[in-house]
Amino acid sequence: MWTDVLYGLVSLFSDPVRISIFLFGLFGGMIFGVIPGVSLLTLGAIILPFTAYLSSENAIMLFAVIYCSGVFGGAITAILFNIPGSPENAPTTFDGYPMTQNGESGRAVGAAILCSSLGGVASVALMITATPIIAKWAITEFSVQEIFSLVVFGVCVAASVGASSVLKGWISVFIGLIIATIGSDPTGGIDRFTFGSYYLMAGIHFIPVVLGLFAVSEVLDRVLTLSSGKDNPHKASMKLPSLLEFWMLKYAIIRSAIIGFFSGILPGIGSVLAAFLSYNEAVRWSRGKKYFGKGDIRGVVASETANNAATGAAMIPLLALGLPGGALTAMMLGVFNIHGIQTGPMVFLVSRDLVALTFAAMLMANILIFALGWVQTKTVVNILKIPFQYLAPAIILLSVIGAFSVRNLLVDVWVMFLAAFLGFFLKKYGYSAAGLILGLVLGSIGESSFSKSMMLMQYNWLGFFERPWSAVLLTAALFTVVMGIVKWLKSEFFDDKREAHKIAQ
Amino acid sequence: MSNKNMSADIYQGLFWILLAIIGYGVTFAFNEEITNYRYGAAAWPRVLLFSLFLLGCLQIFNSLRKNKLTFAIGFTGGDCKENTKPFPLLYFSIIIAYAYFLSRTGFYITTPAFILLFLFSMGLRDIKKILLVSLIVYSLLLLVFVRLLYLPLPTGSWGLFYEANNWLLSFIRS
Repeated sequence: MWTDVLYGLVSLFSDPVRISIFLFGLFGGMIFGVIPGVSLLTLGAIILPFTAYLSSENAIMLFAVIYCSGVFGGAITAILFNIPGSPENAPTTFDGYPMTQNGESGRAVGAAILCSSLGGVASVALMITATPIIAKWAITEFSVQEIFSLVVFGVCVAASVGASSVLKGWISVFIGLIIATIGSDPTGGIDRFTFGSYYLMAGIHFIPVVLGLFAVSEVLDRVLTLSSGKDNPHKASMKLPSLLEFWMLKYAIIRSAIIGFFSGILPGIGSVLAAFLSYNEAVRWSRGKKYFGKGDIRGVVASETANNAATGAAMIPLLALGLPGGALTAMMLGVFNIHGIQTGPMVFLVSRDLVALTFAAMLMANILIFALGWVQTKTVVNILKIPFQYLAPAIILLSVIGAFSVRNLLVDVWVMFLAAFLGFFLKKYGYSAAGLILGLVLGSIGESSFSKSMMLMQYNWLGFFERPWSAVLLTAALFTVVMGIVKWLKSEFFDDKREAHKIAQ
Repeated sequence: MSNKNMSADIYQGLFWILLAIIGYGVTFAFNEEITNYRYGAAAWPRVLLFSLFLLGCLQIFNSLRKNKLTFAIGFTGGDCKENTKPFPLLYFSIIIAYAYFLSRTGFYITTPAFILLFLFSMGLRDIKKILLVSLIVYSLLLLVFVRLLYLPLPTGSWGLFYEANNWLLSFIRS
């Protein structure tokens, strides 16, 4: 596979159009990662329909590069202005901004850039090594039963994160699963919930829903929360850690990279939770816990290493198993569908060039984070000076054009606005938009694999547990559900009662 | 958690239950047998809807339990932040109006009006800035999507507007 990556690098740098697309993804992801209120998901949602005009290799490469640069993009604004450009940069503010207030912004920025790059490169290296192995294993060991079990596991994990409570997380996922049933059923082609509409017979297209939930509703939310008053921007500089400092941070970096990598592999978790998990573990395992939250560089290191380490890992289930690991990889699945490419282990045989180019581009993107960081401190932070009111209508119009261009149907624009309406209420009442999207994407895969499994196993439900990997995945899913219930019971009953008794006394 | 949040949870729970019941009722319309597949087309959605029904019940039960605790000793359920953001009725109205007129008056006429109105609704009052931003955004969109990518955007259905949109389109692509 590493030989293929070399060919991928040659392929990348030998084509001027490809280089342009690579650079567009690199800077576009960074810019959207910088602007608070919009994220790499917004950019991904907007350009998704237009990838039909690109070749499949360039389209997938573009998304992969956006993923790497977008996750990094919001780090510097998180440090300098206490504004995380993207949700995955939120834990960076906990210690990054205090470091700025202490006059150590250059040190924080340098650490963020170095660790983002290291986390990303390590993740991509592991991805390049592990994905073909997993793909080979999947061809022999992974059948429809395992796909169904993995979908169940992914749904269980997705339901337990992202919402204000586990219950609302589950509701969000189930709403997505129910929306996925609209249209023709995958087994018999019978129309469901179509009410005689030709549009609904084709099902609710995933792209307008993504645009509505992640682009339009985020813009409207941001417009509502625009604060008055001016910020005093801190001067941006970059100071990389010395070798000694780097050596002292080695355990934090390694631990965070591992947490980020394994978080990225699991469907439903992604780089946001990876960053928070890593920060929590950094606090738990480090000496001098009291310094966290007051400008401890380990906080910045933990968050930024993990969120970038999750990016390469998220590609593994997508490429090897054909299952998205998060919202952006769910969009990448859309790109594969647009180009008629079947994801899964066969993609390594059928579309080897595409895989090689994607790996090479992600490797380069993570290495180039050093250059991105320098550029960002010199130029991009000035984008924050543009009032968001000027950007808002542009983003909404891009979303309208994107939704319309999917099938040249205005109904998709209406679906997008309906999703934006839904997204507003989901966010207001603590539900999870990402959970809904994962439910929508995994729903049809899950039902299709379930029906095929039932026919293969002749309706013997225990057949899922007779296959080792299916049994492992279903057991893990059950464990996740039980842990979620225990956590919910503890917070809703035992903690409440303890607090109530305290007040009563 | 305030009483308002708890009531909202009860209403949401009722909404999910109602949705599940209505959805379940609709499944009878396509509860057909499928050759070689015992469970038919309706089984999967029914399981999902039943699960949603249970979750809605759980949400109501949980909210009532918290209500009871609140009224008993004034307990407010710990740290529970309320989201007090108002529904952006004005922005949604502008957006819905834009979507409505898009098919009738066309993209090329409706979009500049949308940009102007949206900027104005966000509190901007400097006419020069509003016009300048509208011009820049509109021009960039036309340049990229109409001129370079040849994307077929709606040209409307109302007589004069249809003619005007097509004239503008020919002008941009000439």
